[in-house]
Amino acid sequence: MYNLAWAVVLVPLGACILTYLPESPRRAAFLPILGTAAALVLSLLVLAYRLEHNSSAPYQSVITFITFSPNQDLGGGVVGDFHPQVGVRVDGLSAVMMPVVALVSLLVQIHSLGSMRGDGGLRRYFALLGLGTFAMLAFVASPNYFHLYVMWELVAVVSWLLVGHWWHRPESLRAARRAFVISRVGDLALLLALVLTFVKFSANVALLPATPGQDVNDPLSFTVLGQEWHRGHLGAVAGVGVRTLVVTALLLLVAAAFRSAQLPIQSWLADTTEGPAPAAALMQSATVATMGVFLIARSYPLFLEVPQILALVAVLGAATAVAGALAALALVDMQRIIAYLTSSHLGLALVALGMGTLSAGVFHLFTQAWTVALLALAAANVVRAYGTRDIRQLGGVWERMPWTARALLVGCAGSSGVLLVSGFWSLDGVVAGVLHNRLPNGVSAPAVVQALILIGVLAAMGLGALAVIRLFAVACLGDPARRRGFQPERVREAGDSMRGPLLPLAALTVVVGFAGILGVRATFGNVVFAGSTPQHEPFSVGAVLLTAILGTGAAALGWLVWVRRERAAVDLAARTAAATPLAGAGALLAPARARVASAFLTRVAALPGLLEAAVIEPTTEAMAGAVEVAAAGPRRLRTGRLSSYALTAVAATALLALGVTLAATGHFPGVGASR
Amino acid sequence: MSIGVTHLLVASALIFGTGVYGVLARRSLFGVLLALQLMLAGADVALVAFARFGDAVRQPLDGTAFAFLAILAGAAEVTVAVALVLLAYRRHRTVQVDELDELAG
Amino acid sequence: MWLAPAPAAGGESVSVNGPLFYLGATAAVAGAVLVVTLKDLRTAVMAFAGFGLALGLLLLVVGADLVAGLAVLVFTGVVPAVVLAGMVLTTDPPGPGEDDARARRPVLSAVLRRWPLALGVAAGVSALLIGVAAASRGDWVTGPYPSELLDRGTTATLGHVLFNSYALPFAGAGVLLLAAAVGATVVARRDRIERDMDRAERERAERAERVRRRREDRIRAREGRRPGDSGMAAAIPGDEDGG
Repeated sequence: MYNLAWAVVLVPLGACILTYLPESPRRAAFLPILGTAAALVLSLLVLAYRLEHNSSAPYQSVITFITFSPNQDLGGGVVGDFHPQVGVRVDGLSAVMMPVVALVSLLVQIHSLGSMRGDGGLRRYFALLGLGTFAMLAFVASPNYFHLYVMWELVAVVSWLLVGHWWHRPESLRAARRAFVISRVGDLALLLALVLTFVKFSANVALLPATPGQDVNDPLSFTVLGQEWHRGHLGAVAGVGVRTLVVTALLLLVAAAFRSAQLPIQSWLADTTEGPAPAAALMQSATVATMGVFLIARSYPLFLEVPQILALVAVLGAATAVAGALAALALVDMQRIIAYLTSSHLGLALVALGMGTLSAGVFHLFTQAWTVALLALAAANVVRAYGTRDIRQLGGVWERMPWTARALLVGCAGSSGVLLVSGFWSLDGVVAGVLHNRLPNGVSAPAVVQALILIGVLAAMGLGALAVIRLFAVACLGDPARRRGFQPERVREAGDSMRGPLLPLAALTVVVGFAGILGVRATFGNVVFAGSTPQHEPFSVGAVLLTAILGTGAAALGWLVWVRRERAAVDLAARTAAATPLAGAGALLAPARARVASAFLTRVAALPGLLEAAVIEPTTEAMAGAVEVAAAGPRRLRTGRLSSYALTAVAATALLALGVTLAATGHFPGVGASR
Repeated sequence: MSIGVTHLLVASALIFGTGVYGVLARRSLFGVLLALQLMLAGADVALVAFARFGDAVRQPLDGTAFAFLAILAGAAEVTVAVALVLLAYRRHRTVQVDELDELAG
Repeated sequence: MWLAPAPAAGGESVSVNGPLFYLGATAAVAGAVLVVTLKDLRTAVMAFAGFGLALGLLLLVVGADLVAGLAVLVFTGVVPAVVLAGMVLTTDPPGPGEDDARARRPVLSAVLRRWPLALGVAAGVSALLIGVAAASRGDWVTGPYPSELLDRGTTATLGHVLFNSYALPFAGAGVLLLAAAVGATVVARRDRIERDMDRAERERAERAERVRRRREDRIRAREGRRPGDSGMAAAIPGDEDGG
């Protein structure tokens, strides 16, 4: 049954390749949809099976393609063989995430049928979506770091191609390039972590007895490393000390931070909105942005050994959450607001991970996948209908696009943590984790750190709720601004294929919340847990109360401010206008950061050009000149005159005849008849 | 000394060599043509020499047959060659070999 | 064969007439040298005809009667005739010799010095051939002339050989000649554009001729009315006033 996981991963790849077969792009678009749907069904089957056999060890199935042995002469005895292995691993984490990825991808593709209709590169777009689905599914199901890294890179490439889908728009190209280049830094960190792990652990791992399901011991596999890291911490592995673990963890954190748009590098996620909106929705909600958090979740055994790094993770996450919420509050571009909200929620998930509650963090990731996708797709509908992304010019969506508006409402509720909707439960879990402050191995973060993180989380929740309500209120209610060429009466509800996906997403946003209800949420913790036993989900009344107050309260406040424009609430808002410069600063920081980064990158990027001008060009010019000089001599033979050609022909023939005669009569040693 | 095959071959070589010189040194296309025919004649002499002094039992006069056909071919060749020269003259208005220099790219 | 001395008894190989051979060979070589060195092409063609005669004598001395006759026919008849015809059709009137080419256009000095190079190459080729002939002197097979050859004569034998062993090449030679004749005709034809241009030029010349003649008639007629006038009377302004 677990073998179905292979099919889950490979079917979208096959669909991606098959996309190039049909004649018309419209027909070709259905293939990735079918493939993703099949992958979804299969992944649900796998999940069901896994839920049944929850207590058994994670299932792994790998293929070893090739073995690289170190060169013994170079003293390579220290490092063991390198077996790049690809495969699938089905455990709680991957079994839960695979259907999520498949479903969101499927809904995004259905949405794209409508929103990308008539696009010139439709076939390429759908093929990329299929490829991205494959890459993400394979990433989620990866059994070792090598496979994970390959898929990490593949997702980066696919996201670059998708953001730059409209390659004739310079802004798209710039955004795509920025996203890709920024991602490279994180990829480098991941690669270094990989290499470090391999170098340190491979010799020892080779001595271990083989794990069942694998014929060779892979020093990069999660199963093996889970134990090895612990043993390394205890000093049982030669050459591995705490420092190794700390460095590895830091590298992984850097990689995760870059990929999940954490604090210093938040803007690239907003840049993904330069590409097609459904693709951006996919990238934010289920694929690219979640990969960093997932990486830390996968590497949790390592992080558990270095609790100070975990504390750092939590701090980083909290800071990101606050910054993201502030930026969302200050911006006016609808889709960028959602992007920053995503970054903020990812930060919250990291907080949960950092405070020791792996399942709460993953649960938050889980719920936010639906919510963010819902928000992004609904926003895409609105933007498409109104022709503008500026929320100040939007308005009146509620009357004109009822479906989309209601979906947007549900999404906002889910994002802000309004009572009983999914976000509420996951945010509650995060807060509870902070309050609980105990890692599975018993370590706690210092109280100061805990307090800071708590403040940050609460602030982020409140501000995020405000931001999202602002989005809804300004965009959906009231009247649209008068613009040239825009006729509000002409705004229609989005087409079926664009409305359709909103419904399941909204339903999930609402229903999944109930999975967080006390008894039910424990089930999630039973499935996704750190260590070898299901962890006890921390539940605190205080967390629930805090979440309820903040989530619902902030939403209500926002309602009052922006919807009702209540005088008292407005005054309150004005008094808290001190927050606005901060928010404005947060928003301004983004372009400044971008400028610095681009200036630095331009300098670095100029180096190859300088190298070419100083070294390569003169060399090639010299070579070409030499060829020219060498050819000038023979060129004089080519006079074009019949007579000179005749001369050379006769002379050459005579020489040839002479040579043949001499050879035949044995004047050349070893040739022809001997004399 | 009785005339042997070598004498004939020397004569043939001299005629052939003169023809080569003419082909290379003559400035008019017709001069080149005539020299070309000289080369052919030299070859004919050599063929006949081998026929005369070769194995007359098993290959009686085969060389002369060759020479016969070669001379015929030479006649055909000179006819076509002159026609080509006429064509070239019409295109380039000259039969001077040095002025026909368009055989280069 | 009648040039050869009487056959020796015992069927030995018939020897070649020595003095006649040297005469023929020298004349042929001399004629060849003349052909390639004479500046005036027409004389060179005549020299080539002479060379053909010498070649015939040489071949006859060796004993190839038919080939000698054919050689004379071709080298003294066909080649000079065709080449002369070509020369007539291509030289601008009055046909200059090769010398004038130098006067008409400046030629590179390298071209002027070409003959030493050509001489060197030609000498090398000849030396090579002679060297091979001399070096392999002892290897040539010189078998006896069979008696039946002496009885029948070389022409008959050659005919026998041609129509038996080499029948196909012989027929092919016939086809070759036909193809050459037709091909030369086709190649030398003026193509349509040139013919049209010729025709147009001719018509233009005729029209111009007609116009000129009519103008002359008109002038003559006018002149005829006033026989005393020089024809310039109409130009005098005083006439117009009538006064």
